Amino acid sequence: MKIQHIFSKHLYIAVLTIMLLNNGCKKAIEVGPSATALNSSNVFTTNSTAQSVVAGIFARMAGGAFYHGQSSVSLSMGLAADELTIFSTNSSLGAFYLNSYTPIAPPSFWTEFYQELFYCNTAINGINGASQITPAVKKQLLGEVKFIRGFIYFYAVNLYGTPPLTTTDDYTVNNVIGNSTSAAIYAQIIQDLTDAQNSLADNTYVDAAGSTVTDRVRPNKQTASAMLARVYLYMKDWKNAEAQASLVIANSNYVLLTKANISQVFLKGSKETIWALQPVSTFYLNTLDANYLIVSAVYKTALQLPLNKPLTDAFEPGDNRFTNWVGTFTTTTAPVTTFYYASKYKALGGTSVPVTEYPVVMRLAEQYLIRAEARAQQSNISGAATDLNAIRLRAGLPVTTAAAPTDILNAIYRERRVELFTEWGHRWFDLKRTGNLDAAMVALKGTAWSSYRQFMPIPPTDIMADPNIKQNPGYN
Amino acid sequence: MNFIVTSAAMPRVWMPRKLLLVMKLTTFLLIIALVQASAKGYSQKISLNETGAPLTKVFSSIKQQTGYTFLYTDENLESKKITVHVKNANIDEALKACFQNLSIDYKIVDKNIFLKVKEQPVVVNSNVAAPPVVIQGKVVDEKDQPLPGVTIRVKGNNGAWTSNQDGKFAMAINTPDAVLQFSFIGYLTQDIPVSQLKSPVVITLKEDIGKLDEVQVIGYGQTSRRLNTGDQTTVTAKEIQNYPVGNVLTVLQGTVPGMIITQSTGQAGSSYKVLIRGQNGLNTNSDPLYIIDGIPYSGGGYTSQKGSYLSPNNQVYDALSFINPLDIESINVLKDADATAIYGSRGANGVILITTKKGKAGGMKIDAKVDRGTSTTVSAPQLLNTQQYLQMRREGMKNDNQTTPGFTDYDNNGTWDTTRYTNWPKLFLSGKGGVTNAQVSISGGNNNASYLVSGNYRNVANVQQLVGGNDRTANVHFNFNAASDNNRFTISLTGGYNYDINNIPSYDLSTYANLAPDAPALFNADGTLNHENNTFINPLYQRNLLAKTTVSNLTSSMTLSYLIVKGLKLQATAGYNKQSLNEFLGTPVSAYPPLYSNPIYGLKGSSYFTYDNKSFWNLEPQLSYNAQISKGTLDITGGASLQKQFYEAMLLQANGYNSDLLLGNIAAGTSIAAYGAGYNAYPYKYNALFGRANYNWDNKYLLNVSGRYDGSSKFGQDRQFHLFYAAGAAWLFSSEELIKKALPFLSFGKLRASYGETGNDQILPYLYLENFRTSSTVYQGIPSLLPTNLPNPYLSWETTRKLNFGLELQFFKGRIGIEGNYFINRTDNTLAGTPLSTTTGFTFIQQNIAAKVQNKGIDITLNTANIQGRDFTWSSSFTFSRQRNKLLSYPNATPAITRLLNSAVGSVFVNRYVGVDPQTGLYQYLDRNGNIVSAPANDGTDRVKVINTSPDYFGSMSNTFSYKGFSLNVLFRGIKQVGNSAFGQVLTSGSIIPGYPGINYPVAVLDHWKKPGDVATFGRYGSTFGTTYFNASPMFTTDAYYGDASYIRLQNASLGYQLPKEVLTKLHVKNLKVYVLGENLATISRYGFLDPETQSFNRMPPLRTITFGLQATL
Repeated sequence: MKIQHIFSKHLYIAVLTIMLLNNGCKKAIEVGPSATALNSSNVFTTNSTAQSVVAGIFARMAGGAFYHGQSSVSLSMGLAADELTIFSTNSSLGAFYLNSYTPIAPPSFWTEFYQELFYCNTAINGINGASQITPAVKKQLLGEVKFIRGFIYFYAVNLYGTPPLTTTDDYTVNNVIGNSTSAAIYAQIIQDLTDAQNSLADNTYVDAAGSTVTDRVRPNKQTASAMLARVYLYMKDWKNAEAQASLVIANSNYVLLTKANISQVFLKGSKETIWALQPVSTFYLNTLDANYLIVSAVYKTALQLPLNKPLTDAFEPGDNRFTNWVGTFTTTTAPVTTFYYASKYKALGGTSVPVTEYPVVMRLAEQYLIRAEARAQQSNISGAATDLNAIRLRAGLPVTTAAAPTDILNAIYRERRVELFTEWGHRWFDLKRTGNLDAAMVALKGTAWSSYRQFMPIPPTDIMADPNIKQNPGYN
Repeated sequence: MNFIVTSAAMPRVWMPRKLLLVMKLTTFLLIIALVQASAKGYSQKISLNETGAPLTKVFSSIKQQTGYTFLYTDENLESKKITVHVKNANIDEALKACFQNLSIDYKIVDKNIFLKVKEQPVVVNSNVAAPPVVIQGKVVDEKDQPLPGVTIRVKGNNGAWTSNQDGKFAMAINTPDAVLQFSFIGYLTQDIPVSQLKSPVVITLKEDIGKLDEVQVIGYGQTSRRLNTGDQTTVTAKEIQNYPVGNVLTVLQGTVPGMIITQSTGQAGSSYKVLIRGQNGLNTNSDPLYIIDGIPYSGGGYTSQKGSYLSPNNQVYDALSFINPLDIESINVLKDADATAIYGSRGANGVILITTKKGKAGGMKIDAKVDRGTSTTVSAPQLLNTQQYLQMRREGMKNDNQTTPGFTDYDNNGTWDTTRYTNWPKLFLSGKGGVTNAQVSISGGNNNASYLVSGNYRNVANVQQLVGGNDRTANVHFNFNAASDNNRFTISLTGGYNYDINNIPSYDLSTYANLAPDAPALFNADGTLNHENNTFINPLYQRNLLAKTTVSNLTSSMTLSYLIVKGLKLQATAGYNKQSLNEFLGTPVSAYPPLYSNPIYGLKGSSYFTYDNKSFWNLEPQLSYNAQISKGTLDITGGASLQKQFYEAMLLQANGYNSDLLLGNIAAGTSIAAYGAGYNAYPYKYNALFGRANYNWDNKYLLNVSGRYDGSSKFGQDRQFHLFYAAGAAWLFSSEELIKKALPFLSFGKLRASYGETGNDQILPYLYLENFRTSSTVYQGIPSLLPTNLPNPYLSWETTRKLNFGLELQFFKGRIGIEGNYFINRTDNTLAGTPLSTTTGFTFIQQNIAAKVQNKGIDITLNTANIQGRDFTWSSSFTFSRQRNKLLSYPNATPAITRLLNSAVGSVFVNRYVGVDPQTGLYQYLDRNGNIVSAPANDGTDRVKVINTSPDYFGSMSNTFSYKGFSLNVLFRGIKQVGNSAFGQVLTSGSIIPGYPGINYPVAVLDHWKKPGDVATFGRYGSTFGTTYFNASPMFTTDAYYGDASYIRLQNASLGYQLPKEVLTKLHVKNLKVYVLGENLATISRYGFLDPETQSFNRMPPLRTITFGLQATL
């Protein structure tokens, strides 16, 4: 009896102790918000964190595979077209070179686009709904993110034809979305770029806080105009293309460098730059492109992408661009061979080199060529020739002799080829939009080429996860 | 010898006076027991002639004359003065004369005289007034050899005594009706009532062949093998000491049925994958829960930037590598629900309880152990020699219509000397690494306080001597125990500190084994590295990489226990574990290939710094009640658990060093930035109530019910708590009279069953929120913030329901023992990433999916004592496990998942390969309709064959022989499994097709297609992009890429020789043993040129280690 009494007494104490210990069960496992991350409820509550989200998107692009470096659109589509050739046994670049991209190893563009589009949509939704962000900051950030969204969709529609159009960050929507039409995507691009044009800084470059800076590494109103000019050109809306290009060309912030200074076009302070990215790699302080395009005696596993013969053949004699933007390398061992390579960017990587070059996304020369083409299409031959000659004279070449509308158009296409080579896939997209891709590819690559390869295969995992997405024709 | 002086030197600590006194008394008793043999050779007659002399003087006089020692607890006695005159008196007369005027009682025990003041008796317990019963004796085995270290406890009490080096013990018992329990690992426990013991007594313990009464540690308690209702495997120090390894997982690898352990590489710092009874979820972490002395320990690896070369992920340095195997007393691997449900949310993947060595009462014992040996890589693959290689290149070029070699194809364009031949695999992999291990352990104590302190040093030198470096570990381990006089209150403190320095540079020459065999020499004549005019990337250039990884781990645990009344015990365990990694990896300019030293690259030294800290504190109050109810025993345990864990990892990169000498200084770089994952830190809190009730009816029927109510901070607000439970029952049918009579040869039979629910919460924290994380990049000086996951506020536990049936049989008094377990585990509410289209911005969202995964299987263990002679014994042990994993259901399954239904979760679907086309030399595949095609469909619709890479069955066989002083133990383990085939590995060992510049292949590729009509294993060679390349590229996704990777490995062998007693006596040591230990000694496999465990061409396979050692007890 005594034991039982003691037992019950002690049990009572014990139970009480345990109850007290666990009284705040919930409290005891409260950990509070994360100390290392913000979340959707607090990230859009201050100017600086919202600016950080946008900085994240820029940084992501500057470090992203699509924008420069090994898997970039410049190198991949340069190989896919007739600009570059390859020594290395890298299979993903090899697949572009042979136009043999397959759904088994699809190009990484798609995944990168939609991840960035998700960031953009999250930022747009978050900033739109934020009440504590200053209106001026809100306006600038929304303009920048919409510009980026338009820019990405421009490449998505040109590489994939009819990609899905996502404008929300809601995964329940985006996970069942189907293909869009290219017209709907172009409409969204125009909408985004027009919004950007209306809300971005005019005639100046600013940083995240809106202060004027010299680095042209965020888009401004003129960047939006330049992009609009390109988009209208692709839409064959010649009138608007000319109008938008004129807005940029007329702006005194942008000037073509002189013939003598042609080697400085790609330096970071260049007045030709409309928009560049600021490198974020800690190892490659300058551009990544230089490290892949410049051919040297670097060991054999390095990727080396010399220029393809059709491109070197396209240069006219005496073209300053050939002497300044094309390098040569001659082997010392048999068989002695000379290779030509793109050397628009000259600064190689390194952790402690001076920062002299930024990857240029858009530059003024393209605007001249856009306007030339738009004018030619509108039968303004002399206007077209003036713009074309601005580029030719700067390259040390005589003025164009083309007079007939088709001749001047062809002259502009050829000029685009030697002016914009290895930049942003211009050659590939020009061939495609002018209907010359099949002919050029058959001439170069023979029967290996099939027309359906003008569009990229969609990753099959996405088609499995979202059966509303249809694979591009030819890849099934 | 003056024992009183010794006693006065006993520490006076915080204990209450009474407690102190009684402890002293006990100490004396112990010391007496130890030294009584020395008190001999004195006369028995006493003469005293003292007037007004202090008692102390009289005592020492008696002691001088007779050797009797006085023991007393009241220091006041010393001040008393007496007058005594006796001549040639015996001891009794002398003492009576001494104490006639003093109220002092005495009692003579052996050569000791205990004194007690009459008016103030030593009261140890209010219930006890009588002087203690003193029991002395000796414990021996069946061969009459003394047994040291036998635990002797009063049943129902807390504390314990231990027999000394000579098997002797002495104790004072203040409850004459008590029952003494004698127990010792490996021997049958004996219960003897005090009333039946007559001092001095000899107790003979019988060897327990069936190990039925060996203590088995279970979650929050202990039981015996006989009475356990759960399924678990125990590995003890006796087995562990036979392995010359630094990570105890290697020991478990062969010995625990149902458990698969795979080592990622043979390099020091390797990671291990541990899987108990299959993959439970879809892709949830399946690591078991590790508990060291009651405190959770984070298993798995540490964040390290050495990751890429040591393991496929960045989690390397397996945490168990920093627990000295020689400090482990036992490891209990808990498997079924009955054993694991008390760990609730973390029990699903099994629980591994590690109990470290504890101090035991007895004289000071010093154990020392030193061994030294070498490690080697088992096999280097045989690759083509220069002639064969160049032939391959020529053929490849011919097939691909390449007329001249490329200008960077130095291997065959005339740049390199094509008559050179270096066997790179042999050169790079056939080094010898050294292993040195030294351990000293000191232990002892008495019945109220015991201690153990041990230290260990281990040094492992890199097998790749061309790279160099070594991994050194030092650790200390200690344990202190104290018990109150009445043994009601006990305290135990255990701790350890481990410090490891690894300076092996972060690269593995295995990856260069496929260099062209005509590649230039590594060294110039002057000993500098040869770069052959910058045409050769000398693999040794990375030798100058700097590395210093230090891991320091602290483990500590304290248990306080108080016996409130008989049968009711309050206990609290508190502890703190801290695991820290601190890593520096330096890249000096000299570690770049020389052509990068060109200033145009502007390369400067850079450094990587990694810090990874994990800390755990844990507080677990616990109440247990034990009572005899009718013919049964009821044990109830209940408690609460409060835990907080904190994880922190930081990865930094510093650049722009002006001097390579300063690379170790993070502040000397021009820029310091977060690198990779940057910085991550999060707390993890955890809170639970747990309980268990166990009823044992007459040692025949056992019922065990346990449960845990858990809360975890990792889940969404309303999903944080869950109740887990289990019930287990066992029937010891061999205790039934009927069966005893019918089957007299059956010495033990138990049938048991258990069912319950356990959980798994191993996911990252904060996944219920949409997190925006900073990345290491800044844009225009603004740090980045980007969403890292899609939020899911409904995240909750993954639950696994486990059903287990077990049968344990022992025949012929334990000489044959069989244990079989059959289990079905079903996981539901599976935590997994639901695949999403990347149009959502992510590839998955973490959700609880109502997908069911089943693991079903059997484990069988057979132990036999084949020969039990006086000089020669031979015993064997076999284990066998077979497991089947199956995805039972998956809601709204995509076509890819629908195909997986009823297959193992990790299964892959592949194309069918049908050999090389004799006409073209191209690989041929089957499409889904069975037609031969040169390329299967791109979209995977031709992948109709399923390959399951989880093991089919596995097991081990161990034999132990002993002959007089010799003992030999040999363990084989085997596994039947499908892995990457040697054929597939050959294809992937270089580029996709043999013939590419600069990449060598295993000799197997000689069996290849050369000309139309050839029937060959490998297809045509190629040298560039083209038909050959594209034809071969789907080979990765064919059935030919997979193949049998089964093997039988002589995992461990140990041979020891115990020096005979006569020699030991001469050497003045108590024990001396010499031994040889061998690990990974031979592998039988048809796998081909690679190790079937790592299955990887460019990772170092597990090492073969042989050590010689010496073990001594002083």
